[in-house]
Amino acid sequence: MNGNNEKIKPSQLMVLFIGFINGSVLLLSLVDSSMKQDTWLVIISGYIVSVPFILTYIFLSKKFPGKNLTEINDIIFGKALGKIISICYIIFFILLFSYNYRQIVEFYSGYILSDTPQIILYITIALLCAYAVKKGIAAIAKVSMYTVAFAVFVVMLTFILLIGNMDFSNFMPVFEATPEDFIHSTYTMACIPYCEVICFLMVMPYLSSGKKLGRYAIAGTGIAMLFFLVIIIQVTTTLGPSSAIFSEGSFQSVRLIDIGEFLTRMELLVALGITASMFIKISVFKFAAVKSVSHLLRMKTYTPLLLPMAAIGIVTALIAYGSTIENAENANYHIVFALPFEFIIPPLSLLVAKIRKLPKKAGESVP
Amino acid sequence: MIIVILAFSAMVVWQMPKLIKERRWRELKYFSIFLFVGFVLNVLLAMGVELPDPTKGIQIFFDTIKLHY
Repeated sequence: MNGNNEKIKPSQLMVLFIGFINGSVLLLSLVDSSMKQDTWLVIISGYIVSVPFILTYIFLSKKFPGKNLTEINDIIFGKALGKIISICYIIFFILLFSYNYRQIVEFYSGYILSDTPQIILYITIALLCAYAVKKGIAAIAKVSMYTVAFAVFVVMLTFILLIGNMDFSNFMPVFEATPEDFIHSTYTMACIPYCEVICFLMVMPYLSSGKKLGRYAIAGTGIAMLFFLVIIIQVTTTLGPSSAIFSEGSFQSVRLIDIGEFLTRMELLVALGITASMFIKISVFKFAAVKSVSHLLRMKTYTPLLLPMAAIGIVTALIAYGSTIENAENANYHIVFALPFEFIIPPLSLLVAKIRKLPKKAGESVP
Repeated sequence: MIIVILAFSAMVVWQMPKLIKERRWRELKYFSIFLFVGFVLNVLLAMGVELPDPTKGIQIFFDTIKLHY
């Protein structure tokens, strides 16, 4: 069965937002390395900066109900320019799901399955996500309810078990980061975990209702922000300044759990939580990519593209940046690369739509 | 290399008969194009050919226009 056209409720979209943003938990180390004990600040400031932009995405989808990003681009910018912008978005989505393939595979080969050939891990995750996308966004949304519940359970459980190891003086001194680092990290947080929800403009036509959409979207992002806060409090208080040198702080901190010498090795639970969240994130990116391509090529269904795109994604992931350190360097370029897609084109689209008085009612001609 | 050929053969066997039977020619055309691109890239990678890294391209572009952190 192919669930391509099943609808989702706005409340399910909220949970999907949480699951999707939680998929960036491994990227917290990008800001943790420069902000150290002040990371919690940029998690909040990044959220505050993101809210107007996320609302822009929501306004766009409400202004053009039932239309996806590629259709909106065509209406606002015209057929030719709209298609060029859509192709750029497709490249952006393909790169994003490829980078995420790479991240989850590096995490697994670095910490859990170090003897397993990476290509096996790539194929497994690619097939799993392709299957999820084949089943449709409604199926991904349903799965996200379980993954989010599991991730919340793991975070709460590990937080409680680590309370004995926590030292809240690790937060001192507060506001030690330079203004440049603060702005850079705030922007990184806004750009990478939060505003990547731009890809949900490909999901919006599958909503059963647009009521209270903005509230659900902001609440979903807010809950994901709280989730990040709990994780970073746990990491900072347990690992202290050394958290900045670990690329997977949440995973490292849980290794400290040792209760009565029998409740140990809890990091496997964290690994499962990270895997589940990243699975949702990659699936949504992949859905956005194949849906955009199929719409651009006027295909009736996107399912024939799933496996070829997975193969292209694996190659892109394999040839992208050399190491985890290069990934951190690449992130500095990526946040500039993502700027037009997340922060410039959506508000510009709204502005152009306003100037051109779009969308036109039936019978009116487009100026 | 054998794994790549087997994997892509499996994709063809799994997807193509279905598309031909349902006479979905447009889907078949684009499936074939994307599959071909994926196959060529995977074969080149399996042969040890150094493919251009897209992230390097992005880095060079932003270095050229002096716009990065």
